[in-house]
Amino acid sequence: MKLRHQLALSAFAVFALIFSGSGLTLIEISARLRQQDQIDALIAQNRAIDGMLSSAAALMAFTPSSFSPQRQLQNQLEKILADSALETGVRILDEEGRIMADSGFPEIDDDQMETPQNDQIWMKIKNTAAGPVLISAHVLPLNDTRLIIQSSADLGALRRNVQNQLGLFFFINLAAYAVYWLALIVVSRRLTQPVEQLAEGERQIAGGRWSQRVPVSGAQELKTLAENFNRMAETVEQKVAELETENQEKEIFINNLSHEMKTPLTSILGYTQLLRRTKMSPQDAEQALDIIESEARRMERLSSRLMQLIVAARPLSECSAAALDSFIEQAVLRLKPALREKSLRLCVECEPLTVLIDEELMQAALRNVLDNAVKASQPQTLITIEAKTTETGWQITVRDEGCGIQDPHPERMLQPFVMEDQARSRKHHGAGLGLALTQRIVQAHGGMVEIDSQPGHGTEVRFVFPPETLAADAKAEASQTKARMGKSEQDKEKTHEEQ
Amino acid sequence: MGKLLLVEDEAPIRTLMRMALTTAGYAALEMSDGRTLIETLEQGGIDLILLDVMLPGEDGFTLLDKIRRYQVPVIFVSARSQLADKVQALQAGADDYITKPFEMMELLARVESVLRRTGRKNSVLKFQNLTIDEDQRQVYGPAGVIELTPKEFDLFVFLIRNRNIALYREEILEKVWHDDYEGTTRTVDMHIASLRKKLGLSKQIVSVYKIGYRLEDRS
Repeated sequence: MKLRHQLALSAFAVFALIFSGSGLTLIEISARLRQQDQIDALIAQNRAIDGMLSSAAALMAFTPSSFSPQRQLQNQLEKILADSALETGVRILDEEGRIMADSGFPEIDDDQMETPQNDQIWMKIKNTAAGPVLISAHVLPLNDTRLIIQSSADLGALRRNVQNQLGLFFFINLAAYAVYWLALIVVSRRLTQPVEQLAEGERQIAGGRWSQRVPVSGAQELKTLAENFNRMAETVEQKVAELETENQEKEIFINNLSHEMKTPLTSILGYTQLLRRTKMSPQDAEQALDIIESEARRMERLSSRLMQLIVAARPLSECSAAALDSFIEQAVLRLKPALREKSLRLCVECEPLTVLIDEELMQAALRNVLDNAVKASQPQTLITIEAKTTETGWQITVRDEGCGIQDPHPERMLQPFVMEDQARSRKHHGAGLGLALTQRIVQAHGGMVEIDSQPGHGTEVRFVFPPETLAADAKAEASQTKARMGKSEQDKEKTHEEQ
Repeated sequence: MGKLLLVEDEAPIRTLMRMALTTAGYAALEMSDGRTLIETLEQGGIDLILLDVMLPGEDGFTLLDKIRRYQVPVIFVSARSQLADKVQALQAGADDYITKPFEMMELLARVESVLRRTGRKNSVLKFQNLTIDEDQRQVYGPAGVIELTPKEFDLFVFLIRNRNIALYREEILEKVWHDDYEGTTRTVDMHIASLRKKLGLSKQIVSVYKIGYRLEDRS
């Protein structure tokens, strides 16, 4: 059942109970009170009659009369009854139960009447043909005899009154119910409207309209509910967008990958077929075999790069404290032959830091960047490697004075398969995964890769790391000394290179 | 049999295509991008263009637009094999679409098919001292018409259009007899024997071990 119906129904039920209950109770109490009044009046009347009879009897003793005492009493009684304006019925009986006087006493069977004890007033409500009647009987000792005085009071009017009240109340009840019910419906609808708006909004969002929000209105709790819901929808929308972009990126990656695979395969397949089925000249055949081999190697390199990419995507397993300067030294060592070949100069500035890294992976990451720097540089130009702390952590910078990156957004180069110049990269057997791998590795360490480039002037690549990977300890002191020594050695080697 | 233009930036693949096509008897011109494309078309004489979609500079689609007015048929070459890509290419106006990696025979078959559809197929072929008229379905030797059965004729044409390439027996059976063969590759052997005799090409129609036959152009 709907909330507002539940609300309305419960409120109505409570109201109905209370209202009807109160009303009926009120009528009932009122009727009882009035009945009590009548009883009290009857009792009072009885007393009055007693008083009158007593004084009449006393008087009788002083008044001579020719009648018998009995007769005298009877006359007196009749007179008293006739003289008194009684509103009720009265009947007076003698000791033996003979009626001595009667004034408007209703017809009842005597055997229904009990003889009261002395000092007791017997009272009962009897139903006569004319309606309910209150009967009382008591004994009045008088002179030598005893009188039984019975009086009655008509309850019919009271009863009828109550019936009228009840009847009236019934209609009042109905009217009250109707009004209350209407009011409830209106109020409950207004109160629960925000709830229904909320439900509708939620339904729409759940149906896929991620950017929709629910209106914030109504009672405080409802507002809070709506706000919370909107916050949740926000999160869902973001997540959906994230997932969609992720998905797109994956698709692009796969498309590029398949392209990179298919190209060497075309050569391998094609030349194999040519060799198998046609008669080629020895030179052509040799060329064909060369191409098959180099394309096969190209595929091998691609697949090993892919494996590295997959490994780099997993959480780092081998993080250990490494002296940054010896790390850089190792990278430089490997680079020496290429530097010599192209007569490139190298400048290394390294702070004596200890860092928490996976050395092997980081070497691979750095290698890619250094190789690119070498490829991009003209002979006699300078390549700089810097490693230092920054305000936000630490970083490694590689700078060259080479041809730079043409793309106005050089960070695009970090995407898989994106290459500066397809032709040149092919020559160097690249597939565009080197920088993507580098970025993966740096990101796995909690850092990021930044690229700045000026076409024709050079490129700068920075690995920026957060302070968490920085380990400052006593080793730093020792490394500092070592760094100073190492630097002077590098100076010597720099001179070598320039020659 | 036709002069073809190859526009492909990957040198090995370009060379591959050239070798396959020239072996089969076509003439081929090579290009690594679209810079001199218009110039070359202006000079005329090109029967078909094999155009790579992913080229540095202007890509295949852009170039296609530019050369539309020369009305030279174009076959797109691409690594993308999705249906959407093929549809896009054909809707852009390409005459056919071949995906990498491709079979050599597929390349030749598509070239032949497009040339035929666009009316540029040479229907008169020559092989040494024989002339073959595809329309008339006649073979002329130095002494006049040489009688061949319909299947023998088809087989001979197939050999010529794929000359210098070793053809698998099953391939021959499929391409020449299509679906209405009820025999085995013995049929092929028998027809080859007949051609050798009737055309005097025993030396030229060479048996290739483990494969089948090759019509050799001793030139």
